Amino acid sequence: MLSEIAKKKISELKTKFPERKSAILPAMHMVLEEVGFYNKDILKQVAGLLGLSEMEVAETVSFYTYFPKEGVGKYHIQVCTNLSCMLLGAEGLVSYLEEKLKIKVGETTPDGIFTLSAVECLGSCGTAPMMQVNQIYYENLNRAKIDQIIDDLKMKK
Amino acid sequence: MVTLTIDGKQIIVEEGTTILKAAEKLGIEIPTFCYHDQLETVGACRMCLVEVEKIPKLQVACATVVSEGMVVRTDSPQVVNARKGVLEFLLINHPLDCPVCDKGGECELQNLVFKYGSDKSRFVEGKRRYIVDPKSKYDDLAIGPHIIRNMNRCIQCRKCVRFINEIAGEDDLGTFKRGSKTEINILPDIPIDNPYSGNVTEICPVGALTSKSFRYKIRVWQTEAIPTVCPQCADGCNIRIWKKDERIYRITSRRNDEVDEGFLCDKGRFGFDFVNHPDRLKNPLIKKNGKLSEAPWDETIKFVTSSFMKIKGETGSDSLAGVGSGKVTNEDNYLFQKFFRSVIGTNNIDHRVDSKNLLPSPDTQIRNKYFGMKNTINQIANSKLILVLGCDLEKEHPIINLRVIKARRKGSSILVANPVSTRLNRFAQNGLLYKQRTETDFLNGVLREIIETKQYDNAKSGFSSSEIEDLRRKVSSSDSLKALQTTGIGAENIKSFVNALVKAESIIILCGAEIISNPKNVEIINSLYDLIRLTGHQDKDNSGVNLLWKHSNSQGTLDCGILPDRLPGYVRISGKPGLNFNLMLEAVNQGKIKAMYIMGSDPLSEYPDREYVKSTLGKLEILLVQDILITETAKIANVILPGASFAEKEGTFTNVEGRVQKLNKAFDPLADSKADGQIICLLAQAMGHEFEYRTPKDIFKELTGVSPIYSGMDWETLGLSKKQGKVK
Repeated sequence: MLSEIAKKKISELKTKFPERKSAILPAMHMVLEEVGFYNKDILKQVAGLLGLSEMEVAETVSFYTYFPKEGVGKYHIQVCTNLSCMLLGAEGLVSYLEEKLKIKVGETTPDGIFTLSAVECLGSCGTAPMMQVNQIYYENLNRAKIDQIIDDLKMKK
Repeated sequence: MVTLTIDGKQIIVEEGTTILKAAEKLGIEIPTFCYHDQLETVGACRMCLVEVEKIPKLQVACATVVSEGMVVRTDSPQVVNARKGVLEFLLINHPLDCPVCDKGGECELQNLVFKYGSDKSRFVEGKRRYIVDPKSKYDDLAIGPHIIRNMNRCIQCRKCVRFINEIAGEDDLGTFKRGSKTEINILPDIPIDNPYSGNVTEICPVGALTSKSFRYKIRVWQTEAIPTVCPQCADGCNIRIWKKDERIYRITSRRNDEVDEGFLCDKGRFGFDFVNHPDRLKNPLIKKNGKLSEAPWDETIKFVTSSFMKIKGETGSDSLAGVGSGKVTNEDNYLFQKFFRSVIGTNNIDHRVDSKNLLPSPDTQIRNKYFGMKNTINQIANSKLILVLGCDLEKEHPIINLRVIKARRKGSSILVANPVSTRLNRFAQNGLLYKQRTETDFLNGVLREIIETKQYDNAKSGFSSSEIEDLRRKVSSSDSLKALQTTGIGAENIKSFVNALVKAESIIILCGAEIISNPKNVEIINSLYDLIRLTGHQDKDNSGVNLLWKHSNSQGTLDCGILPDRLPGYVRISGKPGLNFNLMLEAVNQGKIKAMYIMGSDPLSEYPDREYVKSTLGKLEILLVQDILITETAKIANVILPGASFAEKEGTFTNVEGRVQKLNKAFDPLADSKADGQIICLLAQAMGHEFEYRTPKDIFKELTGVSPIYSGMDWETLGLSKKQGKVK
C-alpha cells in the first residue's frame, strides 16, 4: 500500500535518530500523507522498514488520536474535549454533532463520510471551543457554525 | 558509603542505593505497585512517595538515590496523606469487584488500601469500563492460552509488559492508548505466546491478569501453600503447591535467586494435571490370562517377591535387572539400588533409557566432566560469552534460558550452534546451523581456526607446545578439513565464531540433550574442554563446560548410584560391574535376564528404538513397572505398582547444578498408591531384609553417610530456607 518512495524515505529515517523508536512518528506522518489511515498491514510494513517490532509501532500509534485507523470516514471530525473547550461548551457540541450525524463518538456514518471523535487538547485554547476536521482547524465554534461546516463538507463530499 | 537517616534511624549504605532499598534494610516498609527488583525502575505508580528534608516535594523512594546526610521520613502526615491520595485515585476507576476477583485475599491493592487507604470515597461518577463484548458485562478477554485479562481492574503499573519485554525478551504484550484509557493488550489476533506467560498472573498486583486454570475455582485463603520443588525439568525451580484436600489448585513461584529468580515456565506453573488425573494408577495390577486386573498389595508383593526369588534361585541374581529414573527422588533411587545390590545381589542397575550412547562414569568420587555442570546457574548471567550447543534451551531448560537472555541484556555475546534453529537464535550474535551429527567436525574446524591463526592463549592454556602440535595435527588433518565441508558451515562463519570466542573475557558452554546422547558425546565434550583451555578460561569462575540433564533428578540419580558400575557417590564397584540398559536388553534377548523392575522410567517412549525395546521387554518372564500413570511400558508389564506423584511424597531432588533441594508432601498418595521408597521397603521386607525407614529423612541420613559427595548435608536445612544443599 505504501509507494516505493515512501518506503525508501521511511527506511532512511532509521539512521536519523539515536533511538530507533523515535522514527515511528515521522514515519507515521508519511503514512498519513500518502494513505490517509493505518491498518495492521501498514504497521507491520513500517515496523519492518524501521527494524522495530510490530508491537512497538502499534503501541506508539495508539497513543495518538491523530492517526486514523482504516475505516475512518472521509472527514475525521475531532472535537477537543479538554479543559478550555469543555468550559466553553464542547460537551454540548459533541452531543449536537452526534444528533446531527446520527452517530456516537467513535463511530462513522453509514455512507463513510464522517467519523466523530472526542480528543484531548489540540493546542488552540484561545479559540475554544474548537475541532479539527482532517488537517483543518475550525475555531470559536457554536451550533450555527457547525451546521455550516457540515453542510459545506456534505456539498464537497 | 553513604550515611542517611530514615524515620530517625541511621543507616550506612553503598553509594547508588535507592531510598527504598535502604529502608528495606532497616525493616521499614514502603508500599509500591510498579516496583519490581528484577525490572527497570519506572517510578510510575507514586505509591512509594516519601518526604526528604530540604526537598520541597515528596520523592519516589524506588528511584531516588540516597545522598550523604539525607533525612527521610516515611511516616510523616504528608506521606500518609499522599498514600491516601494515590490510593483514592487508583480506586476511582477500580471496579472493587473483590468478591468475585481471583486476586482477592492476596491483592496488593486490597492490602495497601486496607493498610494506608481512606475508608471513604468521594467519587460519585460512573466507573470506566473496557467493554470487550457489549453483550457481556464481565469484560474478560483471553489474551493467551493461559491468561485472562480484565482491564477494568488494571492500575497501569505495566509490570506485566515490562516482564515480557525485559525478562522474557518477548514483545507479545503491549501498552496501548494513554491516560485513563491506557490498555494492556496483545496485537489483534496474536495471542501471547511464550513459555513464560504465566508469570504475569503472579506479577500483576491486582486481578487484571489471572490464570485461566485457577480462576473461579476456589478462594486463595481456603487453600494451603506447600513449599516444594518443580518436577518438570532439571532446573529445579522452587515452587508452592496450593492445595485443598487432595487436589492441587495452582502452582506459584517460591523465589530462590540462586535458581529461578522468582520466575516459572508455563509448563511448571500449569502442567500439574497429571497429579489429579483420572487415569492415575490407584491399585496394584497383575496380568492374569493376558488381562491386567486389580490385586491387593499383599498378594502383589507376594507374587513379585516369590517370582524374583524363584528366578534368583534358578538362574542366579544376575538374571534380574533394575531400571531407576531421573524423575524420582534421591531417597527412592538410593533404596532402589540398595534393593538390587543387597537384596537381589546384582549390579544390573541403570536409568539411562533414553540413549544408546552412555558417557563414562567418574574415576574418582566426584562428578567428572561428563557428569554435570561446572558452573552454577547464577554464573551463567555473569559470563561474557555463552555458547549454547546442541540444545533447544527454551524447551529443555526454560529457566536457564532466562539467564542467557539476562546475560544478553547485560551485553554478553550469545552464540548458538544447533542442527535446527531454536527460539534462542533471535538473541544470538551468531547462530550457526550444522548438519546433524557433524558436531565434532564443526568443533575441529573451530579449534583449527584458533590454532592456525595463533589466537590461543599460550600462557593461560597450560598446553605444552607438543600438546598444541598434537592438537593441531588432529584438527588440521586432510580428513578433518574434508569433514568440515560436510557440516554445512562456511569458513567465514567459523572465522566470525572464533573471533567472538577469542575476544570474550569468559565463556560458558551449555550442552543439551543432543550432545549428551550423541554417538560422539565424549569426543565433543573433550573438544569443548580443549576450546576452554585454548582460550585460557579453564580456571575462571564464569567459564566452563556444562552438561544439562533432562529430568528433575537426573543428577541425583547419577549421584545415588543408579549405574551398573558405580555405587552411590561414584564409589567404584570392587567386582565385575553390572549391565547398562543397552546390555540389559541384549541379555534379555539372550535369555540371560528374566525379570526387570522398572521404576518411574518409560523405555518404550524414551529409548531411540521403540520396536526393539518393545519386543525385547516382551520376552521377560516378569516385567514389573512402578509408575503413576499407565505408561507405554506399563501397558506390556505383568505387574504394575502404583507410585506416588511428587506432590504426595517427601524427598530430595538434585538439580542440574547439583543443588540438593527438598520436596514436601502436600497430601497423601492417591487411593491405594504408595511412595516409591515405601514400595521398595515392602518388597525388601517380604524377602527377609530389614529395610526399616520411618521417613525419607532416615534414608537421606543413610545416603549422606554412604555417599561422599552428599556427606555433611543436613535434612533440616535443605530446601526450605535460603541455605540449600549444594555439592561441588
